[in-house]
Amino acid sequence: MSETKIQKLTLVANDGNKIEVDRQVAEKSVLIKNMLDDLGDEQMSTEVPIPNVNDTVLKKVIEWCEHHKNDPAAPQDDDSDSRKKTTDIDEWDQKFMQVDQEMLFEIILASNYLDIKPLLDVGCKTVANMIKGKSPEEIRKTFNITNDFTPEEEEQIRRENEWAEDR
Amino acid sequence: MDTPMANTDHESPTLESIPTEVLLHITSYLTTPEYGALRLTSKLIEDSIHTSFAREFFAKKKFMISEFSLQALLDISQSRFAKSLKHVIFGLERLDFTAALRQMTILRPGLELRKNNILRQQLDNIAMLNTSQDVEMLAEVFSNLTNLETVGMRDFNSRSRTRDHPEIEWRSYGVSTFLLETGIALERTAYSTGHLGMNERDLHISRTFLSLLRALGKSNSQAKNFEVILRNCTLQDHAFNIPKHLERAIEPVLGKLRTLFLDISVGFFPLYVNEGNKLSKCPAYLLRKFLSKVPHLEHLRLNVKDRESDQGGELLSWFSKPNTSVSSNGTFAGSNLEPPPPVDLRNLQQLDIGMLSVSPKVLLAIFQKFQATLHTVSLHKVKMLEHDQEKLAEKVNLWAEFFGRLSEYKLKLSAINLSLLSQELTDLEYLDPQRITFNNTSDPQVKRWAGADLQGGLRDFQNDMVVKWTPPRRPIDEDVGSSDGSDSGESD
Repeated sequence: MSETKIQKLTLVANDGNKIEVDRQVAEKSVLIKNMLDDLGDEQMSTEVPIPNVNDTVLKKVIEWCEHHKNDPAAPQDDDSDSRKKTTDIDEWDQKFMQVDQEMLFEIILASNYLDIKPLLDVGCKTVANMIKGKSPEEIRKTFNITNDFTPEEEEQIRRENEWAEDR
Repeated sequence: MDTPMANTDHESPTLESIPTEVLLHITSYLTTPEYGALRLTSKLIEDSIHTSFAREFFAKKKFMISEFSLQALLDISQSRFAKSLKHVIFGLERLDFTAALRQMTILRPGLELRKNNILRQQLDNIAMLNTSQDVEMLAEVFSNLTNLETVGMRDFNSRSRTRDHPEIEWRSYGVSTFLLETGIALERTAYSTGHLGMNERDLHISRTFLSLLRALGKSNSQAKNFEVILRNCTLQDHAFNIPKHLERAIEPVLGKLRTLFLDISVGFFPLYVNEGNKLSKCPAYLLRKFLSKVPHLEHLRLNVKDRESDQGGELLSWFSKPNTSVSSNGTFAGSNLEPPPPVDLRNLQQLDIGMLSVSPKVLLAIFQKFQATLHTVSLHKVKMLEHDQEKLAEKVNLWAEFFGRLSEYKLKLSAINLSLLSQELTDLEYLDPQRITFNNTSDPQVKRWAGADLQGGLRDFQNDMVVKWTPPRRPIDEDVGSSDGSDSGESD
């Protein structure tokens, strides 16, 4: 059986560029894995179009999948809200995420689309860490956001935040 | 294979343009204050997380009876979050004058402003209570909260505040500010002055209970669940006293109730009633009268927390009496001495009984009385009591015997939950109650069954129950009331 199983896949980014990857690496994407499982190897063409992701981002995502290809699968109920979520990120991932903001959000969107939960987690944690400990004005500066609240609206949101915080 | 449409817009993604699901994933790593700061950045962001924010923080909220807390609740009830609020809980923290005086005397010179602050808050609070301003505010709140389903009272904080845990629990709104302004931790205020069953805390609980019912009545609220969940104290019988002048306001509220959770003790001075032309004590008289005013109840939880628990058994014995056995006798007619009529809960589907002793006969009678409607029964920390030397000699398993008898009734049960049960076959004090454990369950003290095959379920109960016969003269090694602090079927 193993000899008939496709071992290499070619991912086609939305700008037409083709990237060859090991099946094991590509299957970090639950989207791709499910597709392979559904179609079966016989009907599977080895070219997989990834219409939502461009070449640069796709390469970056594959780099992450290569590095993490031997990670154990995440436990099933990983996203249960019963415990406080940590924003710790391992060293390699931290370095990997040292990209400009545009690329950071591109990676997050691509991992969301491709359904690579651990990468999505790392991306979202990176953004969360850019928000943590900052005032609203500092967050606006960080993410280039324009304040479009009137002072009255701002006061109202502030009051609502107090209610949420249990004063 | 379905692939979503290709991303055709070439704008680079930003925090404001990413899909809401991704933004919410990011916010899941933020503490409440950080989440709040993010809400303040722009309308677009605030708007896209609004629904989720409302669901997390405003579906269920805990307050306390203080002007500061109730004002916040009133403001919320007039805000856009009003329609999110389905469940409002009131903590039992209380601005206690003794604690305030103590705090004022230890404040060093230079802190006169803080002393002023403490005194002002105390005086305002007394004025609020004396004029029933809290009821007025609550009535306004309840009429604003059109989606309110459940009103609750609790004496503990929920630990489900995952964003900020373990540092911060869900406290009653106002407790943190009060601590900041006065240095007084309301949750740790000691209550002890006053007679047993009538101390300041007991009176405060009864007052809160009645205030909530009054306010619901004044507001014509459609709330249908009233949940009192107490871990460190109980409702005394005087909580259930509905004076004549309030009957018209409160009875419609009780008539709407579908769910009622009560943690009570029945040790308070009993009233006397005429039973067979003889005046006899009637423990929990006021509760019995109260239960006759909630005819549409579908779910009743009754935890009876008394040390000497035979009075709880008496209450259950009354509860088990069939509706037809109303005894009307002439001698004391017209006086206030009629015993409360048997309870008539013809829609009762779910019954949770906790923390009391009961004879097999009474418990069987309860199942029989409600057999037409009852589908779920939970028994938690219930002790089966039968003083029978023969059965003791034979080491009879009372609970297994009970479930054998139960299979002879025409029951419609689809779920039975049992936890921390025990039995007692003798009134000799040196014998500890015998604990019941279950085979084939992950926790040997707990067994749950749900399904369509009731007879099979009852057989399993009988077969899997084991009595743990403890040798005599051993002191009771654990107070079952304080081990985990949770009551029957308690959520969150």
